[in-house]
Amino acid sequence: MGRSQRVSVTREGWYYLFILTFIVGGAVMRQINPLFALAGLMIAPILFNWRFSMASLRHINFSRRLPHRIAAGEPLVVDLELTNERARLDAWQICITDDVRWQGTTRSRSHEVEVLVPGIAAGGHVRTSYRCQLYRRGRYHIGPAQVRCSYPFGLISIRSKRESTSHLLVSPRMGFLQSHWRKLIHAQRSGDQSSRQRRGSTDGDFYSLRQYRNGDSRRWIHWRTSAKLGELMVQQFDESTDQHVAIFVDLWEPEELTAADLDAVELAASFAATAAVDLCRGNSGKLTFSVAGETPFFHTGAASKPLLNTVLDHLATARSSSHSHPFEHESQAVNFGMQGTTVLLVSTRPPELLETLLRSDSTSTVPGPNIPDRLHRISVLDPEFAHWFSISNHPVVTKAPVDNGSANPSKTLETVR
Amino acid sequence: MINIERVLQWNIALIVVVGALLLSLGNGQYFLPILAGGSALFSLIFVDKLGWFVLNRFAANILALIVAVIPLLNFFDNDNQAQLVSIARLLIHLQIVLLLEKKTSRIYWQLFVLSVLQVVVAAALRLDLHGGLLFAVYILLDFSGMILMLMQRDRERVLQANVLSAHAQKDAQAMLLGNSPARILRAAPLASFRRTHSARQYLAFYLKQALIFTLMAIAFATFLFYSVQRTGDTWQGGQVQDFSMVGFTDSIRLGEEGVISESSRPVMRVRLFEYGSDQPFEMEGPLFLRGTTLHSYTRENGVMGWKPTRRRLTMSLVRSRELNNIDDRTDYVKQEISLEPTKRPFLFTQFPALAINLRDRNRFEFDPYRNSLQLEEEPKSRDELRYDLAIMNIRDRVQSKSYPYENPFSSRQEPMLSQQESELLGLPSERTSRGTLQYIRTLAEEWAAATNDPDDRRLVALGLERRFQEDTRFRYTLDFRDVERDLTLDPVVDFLKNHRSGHCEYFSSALVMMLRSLGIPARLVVGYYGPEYNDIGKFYQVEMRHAHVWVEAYMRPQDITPEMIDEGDASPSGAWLRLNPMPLNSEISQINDDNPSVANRANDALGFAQMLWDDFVVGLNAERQQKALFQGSMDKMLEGTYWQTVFNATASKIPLVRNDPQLAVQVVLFVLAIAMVGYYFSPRRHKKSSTRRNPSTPRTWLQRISPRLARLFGQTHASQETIIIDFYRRVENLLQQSGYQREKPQTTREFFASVSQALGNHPEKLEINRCLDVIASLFYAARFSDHELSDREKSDVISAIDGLENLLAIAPPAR
Repeated sequence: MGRSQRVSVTREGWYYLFILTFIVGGAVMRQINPLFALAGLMIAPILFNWRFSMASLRHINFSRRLPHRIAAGEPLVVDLELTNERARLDAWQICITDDVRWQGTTRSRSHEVEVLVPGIAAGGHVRTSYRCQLYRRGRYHIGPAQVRCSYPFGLISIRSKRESTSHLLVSPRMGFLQSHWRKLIHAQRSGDQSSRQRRGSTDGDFYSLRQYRNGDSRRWIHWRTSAKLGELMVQQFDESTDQHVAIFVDLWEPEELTAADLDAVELAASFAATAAVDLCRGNSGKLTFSVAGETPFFHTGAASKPLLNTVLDHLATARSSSHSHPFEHESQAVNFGMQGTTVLLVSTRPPELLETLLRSDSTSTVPGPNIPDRLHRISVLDPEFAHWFSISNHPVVTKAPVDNGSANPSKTLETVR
Repeated sequence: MINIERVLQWNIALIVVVGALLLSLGNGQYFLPILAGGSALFSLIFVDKLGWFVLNRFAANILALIVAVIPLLNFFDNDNQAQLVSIARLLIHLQIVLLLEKKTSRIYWQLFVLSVLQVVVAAALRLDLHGGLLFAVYILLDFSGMILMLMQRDRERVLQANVLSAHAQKDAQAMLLGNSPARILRAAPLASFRRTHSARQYLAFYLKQALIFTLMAIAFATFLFYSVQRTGDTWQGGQVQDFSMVGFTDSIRLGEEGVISESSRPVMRVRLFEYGSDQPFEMEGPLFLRGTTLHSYTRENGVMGWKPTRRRLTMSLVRSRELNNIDDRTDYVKQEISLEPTKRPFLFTQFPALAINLRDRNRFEFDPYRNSLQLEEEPKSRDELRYDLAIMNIRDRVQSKSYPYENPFSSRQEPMLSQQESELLGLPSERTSRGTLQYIRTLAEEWAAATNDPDDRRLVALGLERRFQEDTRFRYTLDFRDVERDLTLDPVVDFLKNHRSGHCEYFSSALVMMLRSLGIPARLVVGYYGPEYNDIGKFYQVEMRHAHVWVEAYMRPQDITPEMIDEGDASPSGAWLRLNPMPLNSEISQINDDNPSVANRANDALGFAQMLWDDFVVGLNAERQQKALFQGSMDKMLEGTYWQTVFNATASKIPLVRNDPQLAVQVVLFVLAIAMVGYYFSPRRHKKSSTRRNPSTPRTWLQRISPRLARLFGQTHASQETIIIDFYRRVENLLQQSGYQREKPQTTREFFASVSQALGNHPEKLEINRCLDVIASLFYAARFSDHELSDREKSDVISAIDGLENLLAIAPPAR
């Protein structure tokens, strides 16, 4: 296999060597035969440890399996498989240290996970796993792994690095959509919203037959069945829930960044991700999703799993920017013109700043989006946001749900990252 | 439930006890291992298992400081040996303190290190063969302890990481429930959870490996031990305990009561070689080894006894005529003696003797008056003493009855001076012997008259000796409880007249008194008699129980025959006639039997092992290493004829080879052919590396006899059904231990589903469900179809069960 192996003496090994030196010294200087024997018996474990560990690791193959993406806060199970390719020698007490590294900023943090495998038979394999709870969204690098063996005596440790690195996207944490959202989106689905466009009963698929009730249109009476059963039966159709929604996420950050601003960015991303999941679940309408930040993102299409995946992938790594604008693309304006589209703007700007921005946009002479009146402005920093979204299912705290950082204004970007 | 840590606790406890035992073998203080054993047991039960008593770290440190300081208070005032004992005590006391603490990997390691230091001290104190065997046991425990400690360390690390992650997870939950739950999105730390595999199923294997490693380590250490060139004399340490020679004394007190117990403690080893030969031999008769002589029979503190002469005539070996060099002599037997450490200066041999190889001759001196060889001063070192002498009075493997008298006061060949003669004829006065000496004289005359020639002093002496040997009224005994004594009489007279029971001191005292009463100068000789010959090691093993007293009677020139002079048994000045008046039916007379019983053979083997240990382990020095290993065996082995001789000697012992060599070769070839065919068709060859353990016939047999035993020895090739039943049972037991009992009508899946439901908000519910799912799928696949589980699937099941066990054990659900 020819893998490079690093030999090191463990802490216990150093103590052991110290005692051994003392014994060898005593044996040689005073010519004490039992000490010669003891020295020999103490040297043997070091040599065995060295050779045995080295031989054990030389033919160990390692592979890792993990999902492409998970949501922050969801448990991540990483499956590891070790194969011992040797025909004769079993490998014992193998430690795998996997490096879980968050690539959020330039100063990425690393978290080591050590997994222990008691034994791998010659020619056999062992599967094991570890579980991680990742609370931060972002891109994670998992690996390279280090395989270590100190068996049998723990005096010498042999390490071998396995260069296989896996990547994982952690999308924003799924939170809980609150009353305002339910009113806006779910009410539309159930037909309470006036803006909902009625497309006729035949829009839906045939669902079943039921008895005629007063008020039912005679057009839907199923005559053949009614004749058979001797009573009036009407056709029932699955009502279409198609709903067109456009969500604009404005990941703006001020020049002087505080912890509260960072929280706001995360909260906005989390809200957007939760909303996207909600909209793509059981809805076949059109969804427009735009993220303004360091890397602008715009995507529109039928609310479906592929679209959701694209959105979540982007939200996993989306970063805020102080120069972002919610309507950066010309094409975005098209969506506003579409009839029946619910437009939401989720921004990390303070409410007053957001209003100023929108006002300036609407009066701007430069070509830009026409801000419709039906645009729902949602500022994450607005106390009202708690009625839209909550990260926990804890009772909603109306006042100051977000830490505005006033308690510690000096907590800037440098200190919190 | 047995777990790795519990086994480690037992292992460490045993290491502590064995380490303390090794120390006690060196210093003779058996209180220490008892103390260590008691503490280890206390620790196992009350500290580790029940947790009733745990010394906290601060208290333990204070206590350790106290026990470390106390032995050091007078440490520097002691000699080296006492300092070693102090260190030994200190180590054991520190171990006891550690045993009372809550065990962590650090504590286990400290206990281990202290025990290694104990062995170092024990090695410095001197290890005998028993110590060596115990040392091998210690190494086995050490190795298994190191393996278990590694496993425990790894396990502890994983558990610790899991605990930290659990804290991190708790912190995250707290953030979520706090005032600013959004912080969890940015500030919550990453938490990771590893499986803590139970290594319990590998325990037997680990211990087996420890045994293999021990054997390999011993082989390696042996090689290293003999390869390292020694540069001079080795330090053999020394037993600090008082090593006085029970049995051998340089004075005798008669009149003791009770039972005299005999000790089998080794005193010396003696090898005899004929001139010009390197082959050791066994004597045809018993072997007498003289120590010193006792001349005066006196009363001291109201007890009659024998004292050495006050006359002291010593000379260095260079001046000694007897112990001069032997260049011109060829009629001798070479005698090699290894004397155990002793506090007395006496050396043991026969006379006349010549010096062959006495290193540091100045240490030795010869007393021609008592014919004794001794050290100039009492030995201070605890080393074994070795000396080689040439002995003249062994001919045809029989020790002569007499040896020549050399007048120490005259260079001319003159008979004994009257001054010396009068000392050897001395009898207690009538006043001190309470007027009963007359009885001895009368008896002596009566017995002398019964000899063929009462005027021939030699025949008279031999006649008296024979009378003691053959008279059945005399009884040899070491048990004086039933012997009725007349305390008003002299003990010798009481012996001769009344009870006639006693041991060598009584018989020899009586004979000396009788000879002296007849005017024959005589003296008592104290030494060793009748040691057993070790057939394996080809040496005489002299033990304390072989201590003996006999008589030497002076034969004047006119009492000896010219033949005696010619044969070297006498000189023109006279001769010393050795008389051993022990009853022939006594145990002591029959000591040197050739009974080839198993016990005797075992005893011989043990004695031989002790000799090897003393010569080639503890006492291996530059000279012996050079001689035995490099010049001796190695040279021989490099010679082509050596192997031929070995082959011929071995072959000649096999009847088939001896009778028909050609047939023997054919048989060997046939067996080889069968073995090769067997190997070719063996499943091992075809299933190499595809299974966890390759099947081998003995293991399969073992499994047929006892599956449990087979499992212990790593047999995992059970049938498909056995595997299924085994793993399913294990899962059911695990779940049962956690409070989930399968109801009879439930299928496996239903049972697992009910377990999953009962888990409620168990933090590890997801993982547990995953494990249960794997187990259920494979169980159904294997149990209700012809699908045979592959190695990978078996491994998956084992991993899942391990995972389940740990998940259930770490965080039992709150139900």
